[in-house]
Amino acid sequence: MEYVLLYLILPLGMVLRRSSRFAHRPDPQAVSYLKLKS
Amino acid sequence: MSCTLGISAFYHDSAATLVVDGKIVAAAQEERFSRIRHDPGFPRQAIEYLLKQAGLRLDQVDNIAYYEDPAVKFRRVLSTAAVAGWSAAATYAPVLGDWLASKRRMDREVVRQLKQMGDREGRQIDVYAHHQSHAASAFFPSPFPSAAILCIDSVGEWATTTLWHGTAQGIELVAELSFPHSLGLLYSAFTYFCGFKVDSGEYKLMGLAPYGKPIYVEQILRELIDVKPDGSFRLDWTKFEFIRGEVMTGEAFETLFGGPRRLPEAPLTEREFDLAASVQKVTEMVVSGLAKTARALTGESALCMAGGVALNCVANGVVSRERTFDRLWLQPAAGDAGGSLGAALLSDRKARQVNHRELPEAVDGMSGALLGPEYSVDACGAVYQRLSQEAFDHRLSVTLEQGGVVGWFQGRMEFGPRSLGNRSILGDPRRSDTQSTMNLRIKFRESFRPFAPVVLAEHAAEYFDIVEESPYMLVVSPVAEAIRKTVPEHQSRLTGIDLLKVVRSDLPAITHVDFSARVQTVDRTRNPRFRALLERFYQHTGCPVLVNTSFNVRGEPIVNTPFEAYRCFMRTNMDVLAIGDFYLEKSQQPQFEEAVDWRETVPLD
Repeated sequence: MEYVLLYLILPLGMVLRRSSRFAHRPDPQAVSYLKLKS
Repeated sequence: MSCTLGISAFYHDSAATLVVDGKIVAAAQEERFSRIRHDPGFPRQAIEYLLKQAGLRLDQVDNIAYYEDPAVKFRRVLSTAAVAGWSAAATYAPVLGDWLASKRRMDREVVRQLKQMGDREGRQIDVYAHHQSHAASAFFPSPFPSAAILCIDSVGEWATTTLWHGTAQGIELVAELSFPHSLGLLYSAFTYFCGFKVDSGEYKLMGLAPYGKPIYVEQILRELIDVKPDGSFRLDWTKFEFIRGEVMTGEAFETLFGGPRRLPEAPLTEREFDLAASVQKVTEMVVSGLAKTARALTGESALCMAGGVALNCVANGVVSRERTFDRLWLQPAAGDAGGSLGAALLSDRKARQVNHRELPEAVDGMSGALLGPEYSVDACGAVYQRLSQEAFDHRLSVTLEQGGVVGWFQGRMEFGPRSLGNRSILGDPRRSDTQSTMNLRIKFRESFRPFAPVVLAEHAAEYFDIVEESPYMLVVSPVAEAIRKTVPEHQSRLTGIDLLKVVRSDLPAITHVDFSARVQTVDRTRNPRFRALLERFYQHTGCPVLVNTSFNVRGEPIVNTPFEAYRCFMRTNMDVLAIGDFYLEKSQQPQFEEAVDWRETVPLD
């Protein structure tokens, strides 16, 4: 069951890896990584 | 009357807090009762204590709050498992089973456990975000009408670093960083790589840092973490193993830092000293930058801090001395235990519909962190004398001056990781042999670890370069120039553990190898009984400082009951035990025999 779930979510991992949340290289253009809320 | 119970559980340092009409009346960590260090289980015994303390049944508690949102946390775990991929399937498959079965709705598990304890049917509980609980624990008990709030830890749901603005209306999130970009996880990775336990040994790494040189800072900043001028950062999580589960570091760290990690209990080398110094320097850089950003974004002149990284007293000392803020207040239970307190305060305000600032009546809302149980003294078969307080404190002062080590057990137990003068082991800081005696013969712990001073608040500036009070032992300050000694030429080239041989000040037992000390200032309000002893020692010796370390041995939670104090006293080489007004000398005690050698039953931390 757990492995089935893993199988189902793995394609999601491909998307997540490319998302800004999981970015891992330094961004020289950015002055801050903080997400401002207000 | 409105009674609110806050609970933190199921990760590490489970705890419970009881708030009545906005006042924190009791709080305790489960580990003190279960005797399992950092106990992650449901805090049943802590809750039982709270109810007994308040004279309540569980079904009479109006509100119950949980310190994090398990549903959001589950989504983070699921996302992490997806990102980790097939290579981590064996790690995540069993964990996902647990999450699917119960962990994704731990709030329901809390209700189920409470029901077993006699709670009423249909109980609804309030769930708050992990960092929201930390922020509440930092701001509401603080003495400030408004303040910036900085919370930094490993991870809760997604957030790893948050900036908040505390005002009369409550707390408002201003900015955040989220998983996998975590300063706490960076520090824990180095803790692991240097051979210490994660979520436990971080303070050892901090204590190790002054022995080394920060030669890896450039490498860490280039390869592992990109830090912007405002203190925000991005971790190159592909160089860590925590995404894949079980361990913190792997081949990437080995390549970067010249070989495999130090195994637990293996000898320490220059590499570990230098790694500790380097990650500590990076941590200070980030915390300092974030504090400046907090000031800029909120415009406030006071800062409150919580989260596990707020237990990094060295970084706190940097923030304090930089004077980015006029005033700094640190939650003494800054780790996850304090989450129970924050959640309870949030739920209490919601229930009473409070939308203004209720400032604490005393110096702050923590009652000196003395929120745990108090016990009437049982003689435990011991040989003792009962003395007047004056005679009692005089004899203790003489014992301490003669090099004796005293177990000090008084009143209510502390909430949070520090012993603040009610469950303490005390020594004379002026003696050069005190540190090794207390490390090796009393605490049975590593020789490199420093001891902290307690000082009468009004004398603190004579001995330490301290710019504000430090009642909860959460700020490291340099030892004042006036009491420092010149290091002799033949000792100036010593390195590593050999640095311990150098007498660096008039208070060698509490002066770390970089001339720093983790100071606790003792004022007239928070702990009058402890202060009375310190005053007596000052009258007797002219020295207003004592060594204060937690009343336990390595690997054991701090003692809770008088019997645990007596047992610890008899297992170690303490000379005198002071429990309430009971004065016990080791030399007069009957033989203390145990069926099993206690060293085999207490796991190393």
